[in-house]
Amino acid sequence: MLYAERDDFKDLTPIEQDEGPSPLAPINYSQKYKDAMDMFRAVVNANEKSERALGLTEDIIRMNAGHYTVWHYRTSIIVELGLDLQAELKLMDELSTEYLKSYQVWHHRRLCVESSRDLAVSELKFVAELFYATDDPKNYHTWVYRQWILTYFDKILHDDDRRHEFEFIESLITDDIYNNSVWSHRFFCLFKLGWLETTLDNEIDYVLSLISKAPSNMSSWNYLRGILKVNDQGLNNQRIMQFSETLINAKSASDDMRPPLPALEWLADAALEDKNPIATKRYLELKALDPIRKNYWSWKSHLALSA
Amino acid sequence: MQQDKELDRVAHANYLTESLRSLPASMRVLDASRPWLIYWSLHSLLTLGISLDSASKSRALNTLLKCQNSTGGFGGGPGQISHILTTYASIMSFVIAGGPGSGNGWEDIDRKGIYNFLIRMKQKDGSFIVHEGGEVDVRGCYCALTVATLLDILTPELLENVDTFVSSCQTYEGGFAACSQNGSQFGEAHGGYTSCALSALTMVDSTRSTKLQTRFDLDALIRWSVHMQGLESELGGFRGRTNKLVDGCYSWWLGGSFNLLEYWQQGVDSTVDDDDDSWIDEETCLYDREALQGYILNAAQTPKGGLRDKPGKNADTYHTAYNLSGLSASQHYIKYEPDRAQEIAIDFKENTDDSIPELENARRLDIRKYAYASAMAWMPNKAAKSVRGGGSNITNPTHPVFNLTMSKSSAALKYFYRQ
Repeated sequence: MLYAERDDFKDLTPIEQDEGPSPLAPINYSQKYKDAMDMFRAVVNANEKSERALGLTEDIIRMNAGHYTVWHYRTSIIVELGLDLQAELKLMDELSTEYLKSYQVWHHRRLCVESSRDLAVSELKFVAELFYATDDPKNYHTWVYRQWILTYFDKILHDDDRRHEFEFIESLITDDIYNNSVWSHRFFCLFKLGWLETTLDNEIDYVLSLISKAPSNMSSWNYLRGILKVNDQGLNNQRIMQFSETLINAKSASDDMRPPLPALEWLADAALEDKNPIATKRYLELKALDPIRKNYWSWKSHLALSA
Repeated sequence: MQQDKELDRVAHANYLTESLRSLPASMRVLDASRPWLIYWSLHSLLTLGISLDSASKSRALNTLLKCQNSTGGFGGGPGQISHILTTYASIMSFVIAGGPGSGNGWEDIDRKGIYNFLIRMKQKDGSFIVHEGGEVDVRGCYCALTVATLLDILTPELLENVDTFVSSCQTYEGGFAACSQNGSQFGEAHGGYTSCALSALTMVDSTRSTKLQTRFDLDALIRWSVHMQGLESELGGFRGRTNKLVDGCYSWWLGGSFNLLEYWQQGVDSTVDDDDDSWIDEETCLYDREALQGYILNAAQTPKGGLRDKPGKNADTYHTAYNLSGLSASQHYIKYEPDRAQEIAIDFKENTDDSIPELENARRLDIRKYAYASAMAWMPNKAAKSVRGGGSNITNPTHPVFNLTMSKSSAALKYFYRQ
C-alpha cells in the first residue's frame, strides 16, 4: 500500500519533489519510490522523529541504498529516540550483505558499533563470513570496515583474536594467492597495527615460499618491497637477490618460458639503488620482455646510465 | 590484427542526449547523484567536441540550482543535504553549462555558502567528511579543493593539513588508499583514490611559491601506476588494483594521472644538472598511450553508443565520461609549464573580493595568485600529440587536475579570479 493511502500517515501531506519545469536528466521514478520520497519530504518538513519515520527510511534505503540524506535522517531518529542499536545492527547485517558496495551502509554500521566495546569480535566474525557469503573477498568497503574495527578496538582485542586474524588471512591467501586485498591486510596487521608476531627474516621466508608457487604474482612482490621499506632496508637483500637469480635462471633454461618479470625487476631496481652499472642491461631486458611498459623501462635504463 | 574501431561520435552523442532527456526508473539508485549524472553527460559531450544547445544549458543550470542549499553547497538532488562530491559535480556542470552575466549561472553560485560548508566538513587531521555526519576519504579532499580552486575560495584554513592527510594515505605499494587514521591506511592502493590523492596534492602544491615540498614516495607511485596497465592480452587497458581486471574508467583515473606524475618528476629532474635524467624526451610518456587508446576504441565502445568497463558490460555515463577523459589525456599530453606559471603570477591582478570580505588576508592573496597561475599553466603539448586512428578520433583537451575541457576551465578561472 502506498504511504499516501495509509491510515497511519494520513495526518501528513506528501510533498512532491521540486525540480523545476523541465529538469535535465530526470529519473522516471516508479510510483512506489516517488510515493515514499514524497512522504519522506513531509516527515522531514515536520521534523518528525518517530518509529513510523524510521520504517519509512528503511523502505527508501531498500530502494536506494545510496540515499545519504535518508541515512542521515535515520541516524538522527535513532539518536533522538534513543533506540536500541543492537536491533539496528541486526538490520545492517541484512543490508550490508545486500548493498555491499554502498558507502552509507558501512558508515552507518560504524555508528552502530562505535559505542559498544563487546561487539569487536562478533563484528570481525560477521565480516569474515560476509567475504564468503557474498563470494567477494576483494570488496573494498568491507576491507576498509574490517581495518577500522581492528584499529578502533585494538586495545581490547586479545592474543587469541590476533591469532585468529592471521589464520583468517592465511586461509584467504590459500584460497587465492593473487588476492591483493589480503596481502594488503597482512601488511596492515603486521606493520600498521604492529602485531609483530614474526621477524623480518621469517616474513621474507614466508613470502618467498609463496612466490615459488606463483613467481609472477605482483601482490607478493609488492608486499616484499613494502616490508623491506618499512624496516628501512634497501632492495639489495642477499636472500631475495639469490632467490630472484635462481628463479630467472630456472626459467631461462627452458625455451618457451620467460623469466618472471618481477624477479628481473627486483634485480634491476636493486642494482640501480646501488649504482651498479648492470642495472641498464637488466632494464633493457625488461624492455624487450614487457613491451607495454617499454617507455618506463627505457626511462629507468636512462636513470641507470646516468647514476 | 583487426582494424581499429573509429570513435563513434554520433552513437555516443545520441546515447548521452538520451540520458539527459530521461532516465529509466531503475536509475533511482543514483537519485542522490543527480549532479553527477549531469556532469558525466555534459563533460562527455564536450570532450567529444559537441557543444550544448542553449535550452539544454539553461535546463542544466535550473536543475542544479534546485540542488543548491541555503546553508551552502549542493545536495545529490532537490531537498537533499549538501555533499562535497555532488557539490563538485554541480560546480563542474556549472562551469560547462554556465557563463558570466545574469541568468547564465555563474553569478548564482553561492560561493560564500560553499566555503562555509567546506569549512564545516573540514577535520583537524586535514581530511573532510563528505557530508554532515558522513564518512571520510580522499575523494572529499579532491572535490573540496577542486571546487575551492575553481571558485577562488581557497584559504589557509581550508588548506591546512590537507597534504599531510592525503600523503598519509599512500600505501606500501605506491598507490593511495581510501583514507588513513594515525598513519594506518584503510584499504589497498586503488586507481580512483590515487587519482584523487595525486590531484589534491598537486592543488595544495599549486598554492605555494616554492613548489614540490610535499613528501610522498614518488618513485613507488610511478612504479605502481605503470604496473597497473594491462598486457597486450588485456588490450592495454588499466586495472584499478594489483591483480584485478582492467576497466575502462581507469583510463582516466590512472592514464590521466601521468600528466601529474610528470609534474612531480620534473621537479626531481630540475634539481639534477644532467640532462639525461629527464623524462626520456618530449614525445613519449611513461605508459603506452597507443595501447590505452586501443582499449578505449576497441573494447570500451559499445555499438549502440556509450562506453563501458569492459566487453560484456553495459555502457553507463560514468564509464563514458572517464573513458573519454582518458582518451583525451592520452591523445593530448598536457604539460605544466613553469615559465608560464611564473609569467601569469607576475601579471596577476590583485583585487579584493567584496562578495566574501571576511576571506581576505595577506596569506590568501599569495594563495590566490599561485593557485590561479598554476591552474592556467597546464598546456597541451602539440609536439606530443598522438591520436590513434588519425584526426577523426580526436577529442578536446582536458585539464589534468579538474577534468574539464581546457577552454571551459580557463574561462571559469578568469571569471572567478577576475583576471
